[in-house]
Amino acid sequence: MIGETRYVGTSVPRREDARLLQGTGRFIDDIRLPGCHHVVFVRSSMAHGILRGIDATDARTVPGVLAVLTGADLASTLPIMAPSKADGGVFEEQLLDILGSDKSFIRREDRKPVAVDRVRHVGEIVAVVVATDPYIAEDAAERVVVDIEPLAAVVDPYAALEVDAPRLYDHWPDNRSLRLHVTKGDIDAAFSSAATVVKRRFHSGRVSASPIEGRGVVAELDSRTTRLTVWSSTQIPHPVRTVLADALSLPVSRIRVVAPDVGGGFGCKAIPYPEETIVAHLAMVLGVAVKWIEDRWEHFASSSHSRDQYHDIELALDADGRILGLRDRFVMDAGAANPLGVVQPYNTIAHLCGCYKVSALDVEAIAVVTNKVPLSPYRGAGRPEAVFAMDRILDVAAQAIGLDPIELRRRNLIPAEAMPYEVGINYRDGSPIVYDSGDFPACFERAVELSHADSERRSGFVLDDGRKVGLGISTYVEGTGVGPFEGALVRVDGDGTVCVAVGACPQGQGHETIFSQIAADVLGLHPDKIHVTTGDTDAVPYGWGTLASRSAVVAGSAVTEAATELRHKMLEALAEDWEIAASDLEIDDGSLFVRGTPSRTASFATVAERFLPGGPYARIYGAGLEAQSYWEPPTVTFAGGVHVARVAVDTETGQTEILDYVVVHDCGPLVNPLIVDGQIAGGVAQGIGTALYEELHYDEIGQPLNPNLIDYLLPSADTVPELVVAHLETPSPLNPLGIKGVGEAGAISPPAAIANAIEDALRDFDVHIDQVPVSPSYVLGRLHESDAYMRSRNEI
Amino acid sequence: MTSVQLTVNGAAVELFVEPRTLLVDVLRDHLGLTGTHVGCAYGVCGACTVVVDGLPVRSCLMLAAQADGAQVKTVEGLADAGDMSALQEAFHNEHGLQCGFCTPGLLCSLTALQEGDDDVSETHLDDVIAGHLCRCTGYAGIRRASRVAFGFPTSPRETS
Amino acid sequence: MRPAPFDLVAPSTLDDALAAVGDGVDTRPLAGGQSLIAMMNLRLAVPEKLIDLGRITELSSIDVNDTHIHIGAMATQARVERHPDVVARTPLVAEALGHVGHWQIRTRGTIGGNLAHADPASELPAVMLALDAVYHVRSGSGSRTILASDFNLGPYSTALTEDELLVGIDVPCLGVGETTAIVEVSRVAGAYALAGAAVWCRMNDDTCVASRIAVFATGSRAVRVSAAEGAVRNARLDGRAIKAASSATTSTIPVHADIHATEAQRQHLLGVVVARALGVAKARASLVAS
Repeated sequence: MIGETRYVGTSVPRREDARLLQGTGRFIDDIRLPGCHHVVFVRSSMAHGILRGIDATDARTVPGVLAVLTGADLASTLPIMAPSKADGGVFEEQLLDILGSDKSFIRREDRKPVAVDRVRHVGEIVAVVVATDPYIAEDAAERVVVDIEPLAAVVDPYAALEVDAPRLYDHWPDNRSLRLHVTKGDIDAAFSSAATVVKRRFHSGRVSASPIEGRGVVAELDSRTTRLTVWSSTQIPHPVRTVLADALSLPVSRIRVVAPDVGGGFGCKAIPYPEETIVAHLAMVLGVAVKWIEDRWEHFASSSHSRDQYHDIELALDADGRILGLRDRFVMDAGAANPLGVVQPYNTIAHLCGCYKVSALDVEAIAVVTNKVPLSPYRGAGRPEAVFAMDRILDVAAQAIGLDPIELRRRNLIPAEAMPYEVGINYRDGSPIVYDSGDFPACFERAVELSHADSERRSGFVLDDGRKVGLGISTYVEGTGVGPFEGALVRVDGDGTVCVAVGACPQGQGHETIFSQIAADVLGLHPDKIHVTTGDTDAVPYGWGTLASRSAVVAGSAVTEAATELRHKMLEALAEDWEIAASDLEIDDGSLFVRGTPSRTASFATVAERFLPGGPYARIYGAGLEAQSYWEPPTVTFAGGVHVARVAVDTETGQTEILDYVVVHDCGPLVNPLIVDGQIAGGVAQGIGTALYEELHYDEIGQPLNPNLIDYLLPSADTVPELVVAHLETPSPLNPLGIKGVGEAGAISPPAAIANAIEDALRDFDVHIDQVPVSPSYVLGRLHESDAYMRSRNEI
Repeated sequence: MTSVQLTVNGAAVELFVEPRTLLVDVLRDHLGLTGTHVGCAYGVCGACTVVVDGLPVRSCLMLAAQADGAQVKTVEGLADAGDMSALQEAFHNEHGLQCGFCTPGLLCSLTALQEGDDDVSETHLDDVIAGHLCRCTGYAGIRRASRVAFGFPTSPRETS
Repeated sequence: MRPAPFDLVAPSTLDDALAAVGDGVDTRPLAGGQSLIAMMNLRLAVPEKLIDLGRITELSSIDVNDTHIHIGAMATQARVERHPDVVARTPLVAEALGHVGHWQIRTRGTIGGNLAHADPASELPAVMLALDAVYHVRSGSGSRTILASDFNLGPYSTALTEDELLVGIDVPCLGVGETTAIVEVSRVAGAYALAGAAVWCRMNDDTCVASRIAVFATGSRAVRVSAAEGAVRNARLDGRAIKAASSATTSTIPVHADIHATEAQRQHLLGVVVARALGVAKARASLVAS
């Protein structure tokens, strides 16, 4: 029996806080190495062009400049960054096999870390300046003369799909980088027998993850050990190590990648980047430590963007409002490359049906390359776009049928008794999608109750100041805890202290705390006695990283298994020694003792000492009191939830205020309730940003129009209301902790809930809210197109 | 080069810097006080906020030379080494931080507010918080921690 | 994210500063730096020399007399915002400052720096138009005053010549029956406004005897809307008159489009903020009267 659960489930305060609050944390720019030089990248100012030449002569004369390198200089020593299994390819081949290569394909391009002959987006690296300090490096970078012969840029994804569109990759037959086609059931029958068919186009706008800390890399070659250490503000140290080993032709064992304190990631730090390869290479060849810190413009111009999907979605329903079939054709504007392959668009496909019964499905995804920054997943990773399309079309259907959107959903929610529920298509890990557990109707009714959605206080009224109130609801499922694996090493050292090393890599999720809680419960020790290491390839040989709402589930299960094995080892060894049954032993508060005879105890130190080489237990069980586990989830485990937004819309200014916001969430038992609520609150705020404020704009020649925090509006405290949050906890059968991931959940439903609410508020004017962000300009534009609205204005 | 003399966290400091050296770089690079962070370098995000002569200031928008003669307090100076101020404790207890990158700037703003002369209303407190971007917490924990620190009532955390 | 090199002088007297301003090199005065240093960090501004005005104590005085408040150019926005006389007697200035960035910017940002920078989205130039403030300007060769209506020439462009410094501004105090208001549309707190209006009205009971209606965030300089002022002159500030002022604003003020609003939408928003500002001013007048 595992130790009496005491810490999992409680809001243990975070041990990370002390250093972060006192300013003694170590973020990437806090890493100071003697003799460290600074890198500034020269980046393309054009969206598409032939790189004719780079003149660095003037730049090299700036005192303090160590080197200025171009793609041509690096071409022989720094080959292309080939897409590797590290960047999402791990499930891809298998998935494409399942889908059938006649229907689905992916094209990838080997990208050069520094452009050699062609640039494909504003921000692409064209030269590298290395200098003694960052001020000088910037001075020199300004003096690098870049000659680019412009090519026609393509910025609109539909324009990129045209036959005569400018092409980014000349040897591709067209600009499509991916097609995925998934079907189930008889879609034609569904639509031909439908009483109601509704169709709309929805756009989820292009966004930037915009963590407050940008990216950064520090690299140093140790001349004594010949090992290369690379610190990166990353979410994936192990995949980065794999990429570096490939790119630099080094054995993996000669590279150590460490993620220090990371100031937010949200997905944009979950892919390998050329800057990591370049900085690492420079450390190897220049013989000095090298550092690069991204500035805010660079973040907008080179850290991956996300979302940007256009859905043409159609829903077929019967006379009672039951969904018969769903057809969706969507286009994803991938930007200039497709670094994470199928992940984002396939997540959209996999989550489209969500909590609803949909027996016939036909969904096609096309990703198209354009002359903008490449896309990779950002919190939600394709699920917000799916939910936006589905929950919006449901509201459209409700209107068409004359049903309350809440009632329409009730009629279509998968009931609790249907669990485990086979959706009928696969998840991106190749397994059939099975909702393993959950009670969607219970979540739904709780959200309706907490938001008073059914009562007279609902919506359709006007505030004293004239603003119109509306209510919108959205539900989601989230496949969490995806594989392939995560690792944990647990050890009791000779002095009795415990350490846990995990392959997870936090950026604020409190891993040092939660994994100590998990290990503490298994080992019967206070969490404070357990030291946790994360994000270091030297601490755990194999790992994947923290993204996709997976670490608590996968790394947590690895910690559980490893700690359990360690516990058994301790109990077995001691029991054998004391000539009793292991089942007679208990562990509590760091002491092993015979149940009923608490005076007969042994400390962790005593036991561990006996496991030291040459010790009595070592002779029998092998030296070292340690255990490891690489836990592979059988497949994802499904969390889910419901959001309800109530908004007030100012029809004169187009502005929307969120009056209240309800979240009912089910991620199974909560490891640390305080941390879970924090994840939800953070996710909702980002969702509000996506819903109302954030969009990256480009002009027709591919120039970014708002690559700054002045015109790309992150939600500030005044835009995020206090949330009402309630939890349901249906345990997962798929992992030893029974938990589900929660990192992304909060960000999935806000765009749908808020857009639904705004359309509800403007119901009298029959205004269609078909995109996020629902900016004031968008609302004003829609109102202006509404005859009903224009008539009402003239009547005053 | 220009000579700059200032007091940082109670210690007198003299530096010779280029005119263009920003206060944030003096703090981080010359004095090794890396608790103050740079998020945007144009004054919007607030991560670089420190206290100068009792007032919160964006240290990315101040030349070190402009701080000549000033008393500067950074996050490292909010409490004695290893200790935490009541404000920092409140952030710890109320989960007012996740990644911690925006946190030092916020703590400096709130410390300046606390140590200032004026009475602080809840609206004013919210205005001050609105001067900081946080991407992790959704501001929920920050609001709670601030309310606790300033003695305003807080609503129950969970409905469940 | 760091500035290009420059020389820095930090005079302690105004005369020394004026001598440095006129020295012919690409020289800029440095006030609070909240706009200038931001631009320099982005290398959008690359002056060869900066004149730090921060040591010149006489430039930050705030002097009050019976009819005016004289605000020194280097008075910080935070200090002015909370100054009891400003709050009581030129409340529009205090109210507008609450919209300027955040407190953490206003602790360094100055009144003069903001006005001289003349960002189209800035509230203060419109406030000075609404209050008919007078700008005090000095150069090495003398001094002059510039009326608010003559000060702003275009986006980031003022009547200051290269060898001149703005040293202070005379802001008239509110008289009997006078009321002011400022309304702006901005998407998040502290962000640049999409449209804004600052108004001053002199009321005689319900009738607006005179008004100054200034708009900002048009994309160009802050301007008074004479057509709107005409619409409410000697009229009751009722719905009809306010609507007329609003429509006059929408149809007569040239604007620029950007990613936040089309031209037509910006013009519409300017009409909205004028209407709302007049409504607030009227409500305040009623409150005072009653």
